[in-house]
Amino acid sequence: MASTNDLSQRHQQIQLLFADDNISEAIKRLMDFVRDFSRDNADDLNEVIVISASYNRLNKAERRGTTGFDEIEQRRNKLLYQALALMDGVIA
Amino acid sequence: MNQEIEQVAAKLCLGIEADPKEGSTLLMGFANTYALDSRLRHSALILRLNYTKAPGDEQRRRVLDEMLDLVGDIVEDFKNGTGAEPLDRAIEQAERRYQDMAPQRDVVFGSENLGKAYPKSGFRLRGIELKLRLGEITGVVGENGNGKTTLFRLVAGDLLHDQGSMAFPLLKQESSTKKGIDWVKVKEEIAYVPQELPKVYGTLEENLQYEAAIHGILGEDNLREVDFIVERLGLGEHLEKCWSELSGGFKLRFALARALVWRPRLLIIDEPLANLDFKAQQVVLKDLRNLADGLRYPMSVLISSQHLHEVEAIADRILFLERGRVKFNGLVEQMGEQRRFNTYELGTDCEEQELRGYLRKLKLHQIQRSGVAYVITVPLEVTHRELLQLLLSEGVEVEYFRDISRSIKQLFH
Repeated sequence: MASTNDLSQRHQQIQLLFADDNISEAIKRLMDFVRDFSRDNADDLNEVIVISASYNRLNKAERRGTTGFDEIEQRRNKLLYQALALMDGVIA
Repeated sequence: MNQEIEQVAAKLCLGIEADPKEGSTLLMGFANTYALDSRLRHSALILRLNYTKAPGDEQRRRVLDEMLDLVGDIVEDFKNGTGAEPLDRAIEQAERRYQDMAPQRDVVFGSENLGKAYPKSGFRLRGIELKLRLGEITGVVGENGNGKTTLFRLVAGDLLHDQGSMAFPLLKQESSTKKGIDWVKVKEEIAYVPQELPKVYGTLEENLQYEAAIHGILGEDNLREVDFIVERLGLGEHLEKCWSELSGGFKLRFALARALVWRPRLLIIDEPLANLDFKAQQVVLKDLRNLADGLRYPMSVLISSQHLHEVEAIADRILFLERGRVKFNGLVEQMGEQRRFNTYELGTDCEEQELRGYLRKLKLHQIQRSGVAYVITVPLEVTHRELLQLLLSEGVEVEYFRDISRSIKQLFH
């Protein structure tokens, strides 16, 4: 398990969770990452909350079958890019 | 440098061709080290994800070709040198900001020889020596009626102790001083989630906002903290619901959200796993572990449960109570250090007499029936491998097997 202040390892863990399609867990870890390391805490926290809520809405739409597969994939990838960009922003 | 990246890229392409899954992980590392344009870095991750999810050979081949193209693009990007920094270097710099910020491990609660007697029933909890630190999880285990809830209520200030002393060093409160403990001050920093969850009125959102507000989190911060904990614990879909509309599992998660929304220093949580299905148990325990570990807001967790293996998996320390006395109190990894035997659980439809016959060869010390499994005790030199090999070679149908030599569970037998 990564030490709490090991930014590099925690970043890598989140990357691998996303890459392994364990997106729910990756977003949770991203929330903890942002809370611990963000310097612009309020805006970054707002953004990670929006990412998490959007992802959960997307999952709900997928479960209900109200949105087509391609659109789901497209929106999911967009959210992933947004999450990764946020992580980059926290590090910068 | 240009030559170096070309050599690394050439090797990486061979790696991707040979083993695309492993290669895609290497590609992520390569992008972190060399890509200056963040989109290329993110694409490496998305391609690995797409490769994992590709339904057939054709789609996998297409992703593989994209990976090879991306290697070329990263090389070009690096050579062009936009002035931006690769991620690895940015991480190194960011790490310097946090290298002096070691995780906090202050003692939140400590007790010496703490006890409480119930004269009517004759039950007495005694000799509790505890140190609860930020970032640590302490699991309290024991059969029902052995003092777990009494201990929790003492720590939470719901009961007064009549033996020993207790202190909250982080909050500068000690029972042994003349003034005693200022419980109003202490209760502002500790959260207690009892086993029987009290009914809550109003919607979840209103309740969470109220809890945060009475702990001084107001205005925009209040809304943000509520949204944060709601998303962090996966309660988004239930925000407008009332207590009676929630399942047992979500009631627990909601009680947890109420406790965590104001970021307590100590969370006391009594039997949280009782109403959860297996998957929800794992989620809650993992969440507790990660939240306790927080760098900015670490907390100490005191948890009780009958789910021994699950608690052992996330706890740093274990306290085992039997008839109100401490039978074990230490780090999880210290459990079983002083043992004289190895202990295994075995599930099989084999008769006990037959099993004894097979195990005689291994100098069987003891065999006993415990529920649906046998508990087998053998000398220390008998490893789980040897035991299993013997059983299988004798044709025993092994339905379940677990080494509990270093588990608190052996103390229950």
